[in-house]
Amino acid sequence: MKDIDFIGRLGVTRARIEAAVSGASVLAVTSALRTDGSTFLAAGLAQSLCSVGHEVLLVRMGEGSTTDRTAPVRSRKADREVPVSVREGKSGEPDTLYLGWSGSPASYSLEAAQAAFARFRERYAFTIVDATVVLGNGTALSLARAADGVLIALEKGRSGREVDRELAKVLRAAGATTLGIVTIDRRAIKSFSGGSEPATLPLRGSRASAEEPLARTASVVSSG
Amino acid sequence: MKLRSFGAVLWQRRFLIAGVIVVALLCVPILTKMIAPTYEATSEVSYVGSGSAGNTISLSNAILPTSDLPQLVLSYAVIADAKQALNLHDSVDELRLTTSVKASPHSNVVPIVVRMKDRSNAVLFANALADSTVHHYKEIAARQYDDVISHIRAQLDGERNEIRTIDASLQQAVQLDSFVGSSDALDTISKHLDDLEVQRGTAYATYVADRAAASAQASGTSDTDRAGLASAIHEQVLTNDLTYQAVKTAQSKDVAELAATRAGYTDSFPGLPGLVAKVKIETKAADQAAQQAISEHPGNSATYAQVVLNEHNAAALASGDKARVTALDHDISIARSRLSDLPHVGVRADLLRLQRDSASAAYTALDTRYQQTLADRAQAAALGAAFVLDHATMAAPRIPELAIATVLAALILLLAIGVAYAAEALDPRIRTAADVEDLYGMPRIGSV
Repeated sequence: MKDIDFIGRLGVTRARIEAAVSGASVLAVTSALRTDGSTFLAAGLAQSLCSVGHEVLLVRMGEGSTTDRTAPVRSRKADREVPVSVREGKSGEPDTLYLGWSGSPASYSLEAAQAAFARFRERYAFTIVDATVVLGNGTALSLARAADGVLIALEKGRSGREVDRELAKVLRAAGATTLGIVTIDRRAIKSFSGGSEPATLPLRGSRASAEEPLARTASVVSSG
Repeated sequence: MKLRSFGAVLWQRRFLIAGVIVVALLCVPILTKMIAPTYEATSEVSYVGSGSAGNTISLSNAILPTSDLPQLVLSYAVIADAKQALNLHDSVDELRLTTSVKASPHSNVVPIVVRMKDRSNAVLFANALADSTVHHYKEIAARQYDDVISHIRAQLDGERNEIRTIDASLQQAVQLDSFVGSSDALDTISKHLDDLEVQRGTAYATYVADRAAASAQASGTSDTDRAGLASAIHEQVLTNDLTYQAVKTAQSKDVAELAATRAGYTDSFPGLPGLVAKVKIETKAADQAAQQAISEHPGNSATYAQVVLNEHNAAALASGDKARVTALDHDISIARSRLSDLPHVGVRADLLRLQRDSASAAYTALDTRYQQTLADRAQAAALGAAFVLDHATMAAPRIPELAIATVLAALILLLAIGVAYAAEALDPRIRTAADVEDLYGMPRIGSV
């Protein structure tokens, strides 16, 4: 099977995004379906931005907040602040903030998200929020609304569904700024595991090089 | 750009295309076996007409123009004849659809092409069509003479009837008077009359002589002759009369016995008187028998019969002469009557004779023309312009196998491409930027 240059493609996508935004930016990555590769895109984009010298924070939402049908009940305390305890990444890797994991609330208001993003902008050039699915997930939608731009991950080659139109409609109705859609190759999604525990970095492994996890992913795809 | 898009679709569906091609190639042998090939056989009919260059045989007027030959080949009669010859079950219309004929104005060779599923039938039917076409063509060639022949024949019949009518009239006239049948009736009748008069003179003279002879035979001559002949006649009569001879024999016997008795005995012999009396009686009976024989049976005498016969012959000869004279008188009378009637009867006979001569001349002329037309018809039928130049000997598949293979390959390729495009059109999956933008109404900014 021919090798696919996912790193190169991510670089091209990252360059276009850099050109589309100005200054410190918060970008939310979401998708209509969980399998569309939003986590892969968020992690890969954060990795790529780090590789070109940007300070990047990758915000990941915990398992309890990512499933639309099993989304936890929103906290009655709408003004609850988003925690800012960030796990620092290794050299060349983005810092990581986990939301919704054990010990962390699962639901936040728009205002809380906006306040948190304001603080993120002070420190990071780019904050990449892995909002997974926003449909049926109020926190994800709040994060998307508060972000400077929204990227929609879409698995290339899958059939179009009504949920895709619903996502576009919801984002438009919520006033989110959608930068565009990034199509993700199915093989890249299958080879990538977004991490099932907070202690794990977005991309498996702990190589010093920022591009190494993605390169490893590419090699897995090629060998598969 | 479109070419790239075309190529992209083909590449995207390459496995489907390959699958379709493989399946199609697997099906090709089955299809070729299921599809019965059509075989084509060609026979050729050549046409010798006014337009034939270099032919030694050329008719001044073509029976049919070459361009009409296809219509003749495809005519119901020609196809029906060929069908009947081969005992085919197809209808004439169906057979017509299997046949094609193309006549070229620059060629006298007309190919008859037959396409059939059955190879042998294609050959046979092509040949049967060629034969039937030639046959019908000759019929048509001769048919133009048939009308003339029929017309001449009708005229001949008319002339023949007229001649018969004239002959009947002439015969009737001849029956009325045999001499009117002759052109020199006057001379003939005159000569005939002269002959009759000469014959009458001779006959009359003969009659007079014979009548005189008969009279002499019956009267003067007979008295003397009969007196001289009486004793001979009586003797012949008595000799030929059996009764007289029987009586005479008995009487002679008894006379002899009496003489013998007298010689041996005296007159006192007691048996003598009885014997004398018996002899007397027998003598008397013999005399009576002699008289009776002479008076009743004179014909027993040959002399008497000859005399009577001579008399009758003389009388008959005279009567015959008289009858002949009378008949000649009658003929002379008729001849004279005809001679007197000859002026008006002869004119009518002459007129009939002239009419008959005229009708006979017309009949002869028509008959000559009839024979000439028959000869022309025979010539037209023999040289009747069309003949089978070449019979079909084999039937080849209408479409060469290479062409079939090429067409099948092209069809398979087109099928594969069509299937690929159909699959592409029916595929709901998101593949291109356009698909993404159509679905979300937003631009695609990247692809990973």
